[in-house]
Amino acid sequence: MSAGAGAGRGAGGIVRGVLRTRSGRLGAALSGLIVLAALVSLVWTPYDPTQVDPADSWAPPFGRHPLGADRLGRDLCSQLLAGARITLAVAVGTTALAAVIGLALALSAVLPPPPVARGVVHLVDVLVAFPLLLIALVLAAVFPGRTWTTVVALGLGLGVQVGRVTRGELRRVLATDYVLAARAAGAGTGRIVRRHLLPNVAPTLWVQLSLTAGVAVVAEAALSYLGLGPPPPAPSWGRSLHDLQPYLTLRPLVLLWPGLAIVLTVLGFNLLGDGLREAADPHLRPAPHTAVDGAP
Amino acid sequence: MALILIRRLGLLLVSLLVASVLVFAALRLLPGDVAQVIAGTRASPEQVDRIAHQLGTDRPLVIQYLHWLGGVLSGDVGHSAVNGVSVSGELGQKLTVTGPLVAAATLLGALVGVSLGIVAAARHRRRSGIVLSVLSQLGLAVPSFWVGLMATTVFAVHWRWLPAGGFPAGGWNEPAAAVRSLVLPVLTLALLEGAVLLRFTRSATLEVLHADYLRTARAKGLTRGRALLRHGVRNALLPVLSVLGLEFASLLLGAVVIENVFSLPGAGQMLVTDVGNRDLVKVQGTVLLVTAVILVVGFLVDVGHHLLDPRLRDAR
Amino acid sequence: MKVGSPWPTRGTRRRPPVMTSVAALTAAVLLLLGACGGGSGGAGAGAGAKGTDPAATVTIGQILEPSTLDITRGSGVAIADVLQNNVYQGLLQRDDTGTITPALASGYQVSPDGLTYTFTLRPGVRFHDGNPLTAADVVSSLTAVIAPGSTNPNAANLASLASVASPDPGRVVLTLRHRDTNFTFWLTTAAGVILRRGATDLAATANGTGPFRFASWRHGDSITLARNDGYWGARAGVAKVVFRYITDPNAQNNAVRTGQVDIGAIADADLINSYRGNPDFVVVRGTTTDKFTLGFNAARAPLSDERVRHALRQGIDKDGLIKVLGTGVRIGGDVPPSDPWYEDLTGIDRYDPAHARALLAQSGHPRGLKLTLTVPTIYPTSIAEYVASQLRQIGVEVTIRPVEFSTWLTDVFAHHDYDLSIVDHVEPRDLGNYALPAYYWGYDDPRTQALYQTGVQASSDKDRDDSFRAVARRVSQQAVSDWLLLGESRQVARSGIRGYPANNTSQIYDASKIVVTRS
Repeated sequence: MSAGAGAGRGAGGIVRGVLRTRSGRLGAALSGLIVLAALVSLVWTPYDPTQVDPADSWAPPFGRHPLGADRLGRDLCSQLLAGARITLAVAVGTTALAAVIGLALALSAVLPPPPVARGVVHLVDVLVAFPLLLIALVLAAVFPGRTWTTVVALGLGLGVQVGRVTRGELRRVLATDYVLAARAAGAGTGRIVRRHLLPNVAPTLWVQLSLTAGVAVVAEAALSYLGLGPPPPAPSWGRSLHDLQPYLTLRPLVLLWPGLAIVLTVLGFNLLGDGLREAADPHLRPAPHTAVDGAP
Repeated sequence: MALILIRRLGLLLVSLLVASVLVFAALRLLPGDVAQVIAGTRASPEQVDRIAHQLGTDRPLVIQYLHWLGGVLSGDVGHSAVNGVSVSGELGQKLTVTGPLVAAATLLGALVGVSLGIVAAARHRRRSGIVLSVLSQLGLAVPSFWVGLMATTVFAVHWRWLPAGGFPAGGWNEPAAAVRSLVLPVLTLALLEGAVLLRFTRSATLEVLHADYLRTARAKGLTRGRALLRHGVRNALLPVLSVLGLEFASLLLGAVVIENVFSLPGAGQMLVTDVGNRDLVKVQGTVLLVTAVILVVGFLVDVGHHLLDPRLRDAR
Repeated sequence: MKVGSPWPTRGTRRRPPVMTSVAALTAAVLLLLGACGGGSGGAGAGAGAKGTDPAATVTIGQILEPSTLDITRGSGVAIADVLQNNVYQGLLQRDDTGTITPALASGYQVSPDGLTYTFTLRPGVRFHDGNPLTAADVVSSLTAVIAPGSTNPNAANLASLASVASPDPGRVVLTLRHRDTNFTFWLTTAAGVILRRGATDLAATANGTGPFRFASWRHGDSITLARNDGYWGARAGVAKVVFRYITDPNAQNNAVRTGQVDIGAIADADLINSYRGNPDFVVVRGTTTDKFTLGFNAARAPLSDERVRHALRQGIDKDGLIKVLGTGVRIGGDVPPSDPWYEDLTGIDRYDPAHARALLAQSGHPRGLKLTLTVPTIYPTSIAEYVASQLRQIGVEVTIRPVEFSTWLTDVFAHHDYDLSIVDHVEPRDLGNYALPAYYWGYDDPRTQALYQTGVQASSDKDRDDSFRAVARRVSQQAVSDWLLLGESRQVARSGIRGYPANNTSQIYDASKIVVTRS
């Protein structure tokens, strides 16, 4: 990869590149669908998603309620739409936090003088070993009833992982001829970071982050299963899935929707990540005449 | 090489010390009080104070930490405030369930994930490669407790092939029953691990596929498959090894969910219960031991790295 | 002074317990139990009963595991649930219908002033370690509970007990500070168990006098009890009882379906219904003392205003809640129908959202209120979500704050830092909580306290019942709490198993009368 491989093309170029791959298109479509659902839920849902109505307990689908109602008579379709908002917020928040933490850790592990940098490297090693579960447990206990505790717990845990992978990339880039040349030419650290490091780790970072978003959605479901997810009555998909799980055999249909929503969202994020990778890596970018290929 | 090992070992110990401070401090943030948990709702405030005094939880934090650290250094990680059991003994017993679960799942996931990942990369333009890739995507996208629930419903409740949950009362003294009760949990956890590793192996191998040394190898007349096996796989495995190390840390979260779904008496479940009881001495002992295991695994992975990668052998 | 422990018991985690009317099926089981209960040790279904298998092992699925076996130190009801009556016994014991019978005492006499209880010890009773039960064991056990500096969490149960003495080896005399109409009842709780004097290692093992000896405890999994063949009463009907703890409702259900447990605690109404008409299983419904209580912090604004509390009560449709949960009985006060001083108080603060809104306006909150609802995570969130949704209809914005039970104990119970709180008060006869000014409800009413004391020290059952009835009514009329529902106990048992307690009114799961039919 040359110095300009990732840097030369602007954001528009990357988007066009992603959409040129099949997985990128599919991923963008699925992610777009989730974003759309979240946006719609901001202005409209068929019912108030948290409104209970004893008369509509377990109301069947396709009647007054498009997807039926849960035990408390809450509209499942409205919950699904509103859940998109929460799940998306958790995914985006987690990813953003993971990006900041990851980049900060990675940069401070390669840029400062060796003793400091080495300290950071080992700190990251310790943090990686620190159970994510414990962070989530402590945060949820200290600040009960807040959605952001889920975001922070996941962002911390995943950010450290992003940092580790990014650190490797940074070290690789730092050792390249053009960075050494820039150094020799007297370029400052800030300039090297802006002109060379960030643009060159950007492709890997984007891929990592799209995967992180997917992992966040699944991890949110796992935390919700343990009662550590977003608090009630926020109808995050993970929590819906957990609340409805006793009815797996009795009412499989009510479980289908949040489950499907989670799967499609993660799939969307991951495919988007693949698209990014293919778009960023010239080797994987399909030649014009084999545009159909684009393995997901 | 020996020098590196010694230095790494020293770092390992420092890391553990840092971890012990982190765990201790993080747990003191928790609201709630084990004395109140023990006393419940019928005891008077004076009784709660008396229990706290007996347990020593009313002493300054620094004293409590040093007391604990002293115990750890002399080989005693601590005792439960609630029922007095020793942390290492209890954890040891729990690990006879969680250990095999995690180890088998990681091994199975790694075997299947890595080999299929290489296949998926080698055939990434063919149908079989695409199918594998799609499957790994699905494996990543499904929450593990969901897979576990489905698996029990189908294989245990409907077909009665395997137990729906639990672990035999005799533990590993009943090897057949113990293995049977771990089949579904291991498969569930391995599915997730395998999917992650398949993806990483695939992309790592794809990158290697275009590396110059592989081209050279092919130019020398090796077939694509041979070239990949002889030169590519080792290089592709390096990042996979890192990922494996990373995955290990989040395994506890995966394990606690699986233990809950299959009602296994494992370490993850114990941790959640102990945090709930505010049995902090037990929690910090458990976490320190688990962190130590992960750090040691990381250390071993690191050593593995040095052995696998000729460039690193002399570096650092 | 006695304070309710809000630990949920079987069938109450994530979803509260059971049914509305005792079905015909249940009635049959209750009759059976009635036949077995009473007397010493169960006559009907002992080890020798025909067609039963005395060598059988019965596995009982439960939800909450005790965190210690030390019944003199741990507070959760899960300890008593497994150990009391089965391993440990008191001078008296109580069955699941509330009937009190002699146990380690063969009988007792009360002095006319009600201050002296003389118990005659049952001869020939031995501890599981072979030592005979002596008066000294009784004296040391009960004295330890009431001693100054005692850390027994149930010490408050025996607050009226002044001293314990033994005039001769066969008798024990308990002297009270004042008359206590519930004294024999308190002796049947965990505070009244008799341990071997000088017993140690209580957290990990148990040396009692009951029909089962403690065999083993696999932490996080199960506790096993084995029949005590040297038991003084009728021997237990099965050789082994395993209490298996399964928190996940799905896992519990699967364990019942696949025969991993013989009796399971399934709380969910839909899951219970799926066993209907299945000849392999019997669904047992029973009553409980689980009062799901919406607590108001009456010591701080705005809930210090009685009108606001009435408004909140009138804004919550309890019948609707019971309907959506598919379980529960409506109660209008703290007393369940199983207590002698029960009175139907459901007419107080009937569901009337319009009137609730008017009351809020009158009390100076025409534009509604913002309140926080602190609820322990051991309970299903659906109840809190229901309450929040209902209160929003009358203009009260409720923020749900789910906390671990340990946090609840410190924040709400000890520090009174909350507005609203939902807790399942499982303790039987806990009406006295409303007479404790320092209790977390912040309710300090001298008249209620005086009435309650009158009831405690009454000289006849009728006077006692009248006083307690008046307390319950007054507390409800002042809207000190809202009682959302009384839980119901539901178990699913394999056909061919009989003799298990159907009700959950005592925090005791007496397994000694369980028998397995030979198939």
